[in-house]
Amino acid sequence: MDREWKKGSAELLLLSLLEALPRHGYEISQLIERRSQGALRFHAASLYPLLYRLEKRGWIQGRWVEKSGQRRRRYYRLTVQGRKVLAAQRQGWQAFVEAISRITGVANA
Amino acid sequence: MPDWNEQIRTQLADLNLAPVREAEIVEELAQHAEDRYLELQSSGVTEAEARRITLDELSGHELLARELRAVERLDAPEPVVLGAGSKGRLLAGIGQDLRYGLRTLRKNPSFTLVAVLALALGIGANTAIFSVVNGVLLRPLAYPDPDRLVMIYETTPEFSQASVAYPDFLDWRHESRSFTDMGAVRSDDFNFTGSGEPEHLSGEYVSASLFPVLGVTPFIGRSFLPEEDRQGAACAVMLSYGCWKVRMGADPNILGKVLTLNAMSCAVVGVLPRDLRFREGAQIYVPIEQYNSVELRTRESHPGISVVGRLKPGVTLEVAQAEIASISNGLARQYPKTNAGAGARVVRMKDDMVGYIRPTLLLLVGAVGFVLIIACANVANLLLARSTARKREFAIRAALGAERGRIVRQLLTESVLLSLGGAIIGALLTRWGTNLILAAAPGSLPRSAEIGIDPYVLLFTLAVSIVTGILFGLAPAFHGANANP
Repeated sequence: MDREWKKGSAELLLLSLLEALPRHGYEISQLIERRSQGALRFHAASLYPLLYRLEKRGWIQGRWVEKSGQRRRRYYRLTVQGRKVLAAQRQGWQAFVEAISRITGVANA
Repeated sequence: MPDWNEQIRTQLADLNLAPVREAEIVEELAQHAEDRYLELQSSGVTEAEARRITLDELSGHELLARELRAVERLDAPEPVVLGAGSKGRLLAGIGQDLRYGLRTLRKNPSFTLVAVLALALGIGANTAIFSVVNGVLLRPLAYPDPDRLVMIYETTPEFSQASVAYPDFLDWRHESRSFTDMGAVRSDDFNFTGSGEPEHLSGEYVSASLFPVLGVTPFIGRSFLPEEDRQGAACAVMLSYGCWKVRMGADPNILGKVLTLNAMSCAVVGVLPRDLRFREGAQIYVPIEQYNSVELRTRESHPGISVVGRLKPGVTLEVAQAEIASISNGLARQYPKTNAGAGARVVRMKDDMVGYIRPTLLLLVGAVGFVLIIACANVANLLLARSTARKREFAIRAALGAERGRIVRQLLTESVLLSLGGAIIGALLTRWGTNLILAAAPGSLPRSAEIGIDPYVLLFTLAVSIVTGILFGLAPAFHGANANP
């Protein structure tokens, strides 16, 4: 899929995936690939800088978690502020998609 | 398995990240790379191919370095980690030191408690003594221009400091030019006949000039007029604030009321201010000319009269002393029978009040100073023992890149935190401590009503605690910082 499309929606994707529970980076990249049935792929080179960016903005928070028998991993969870941003972006995205659909005549509902 | 760490570190090399931040990113990305590599292999890709794909995705044609450069340059606070370089970030560094220090002290509550208590005793004792020294020796007397106030004594061949004969006082006052004025005062008891039983009131005979010389303005009414301080004048009386408040029920119409004192009828002309610290305990003041005794009229008697003088601006103690001495010499020639060998001595009022107690107080200062030094030595010992136990921690920090100075600063911050804790508890102990000192020597300490905690005392406590913290922290800090990884 087009790189620009991906970039615009990347933040929304990450925030959505962290909404239910904290996840580590590799898990996030796998989920994006699996749920998009291979259409979307986030590699480490773009995924981690984005995670750090969101963390600096205070939308997500990373924490090293040690589970027995495994190397420690950094899990990210949504902050209160991140939750608000997610709600706003979701609404914006929906309005955007509907507007595009009305113009292009793509029937999706 | 390929060494992902090395690969990633190469990509990050140009970013100049803080060492701790870099270590974190390397660890996280290496973990990801390993997961990806294993996944690729388990899906049937060859080892070499899996390695190539993983590395490609990792760098994304320099995308990683580019993106990270943008993100990591965002001005966001670094995580609190000790050991990172501290170039130009002194304040943030001190904030870190403080937070880390507090956390470390909280982790060892028993150590902290013992150290803080030892320091609290040392600092509290010093603060208590300093508050006494401050109130008694350092604080100026509570009069306007107190440095110009002096006491003038007569000297005789027998006494180096005798009370003054009243006619001599009158001649001094009349002839001297070094003083704006002089006042005389003599303590006495008065029989007060009020509505009930007659009672004794302690009071003072004062010259009309006394309160103007001191610069004391009455709270109500006025001071004595010169004509009220003459032989045969009608008796007038001034009341202390306490006497007016308690004995007269704070009567607002007290002026003009007539009290019977020593069978004389004396009209009240004024009430003195509450904070008057002159001859505390006196309840009433009567003009000295009402003192009905022959001793007042002869140069032979020295009936307990003290003389207060106020130097003219610019006149030194020595000049005044010389002038009074020469007047006394004249009097000795004029009245050889009574005044032969008599001289005069001028002493600053404050020295007169507190000079004799100065050595005792300084001795106490020395004693509590030693108490503090002992407390310091004890706490330094505790810290030394602990810094030996913490060697591992310092070695790790040094390995992470902490400079020696930074570790010393951290340890000094901890010790100053300890002593500040001690200072807070010590300051709370101070009130109790000064009460203890005053109770041990009731009435023997001049100006004891002026002892208390003021900004100077708090400043002293703060300074002592910081110096203390550095003093006892220095050796353990250097000891700790010398840990080798």
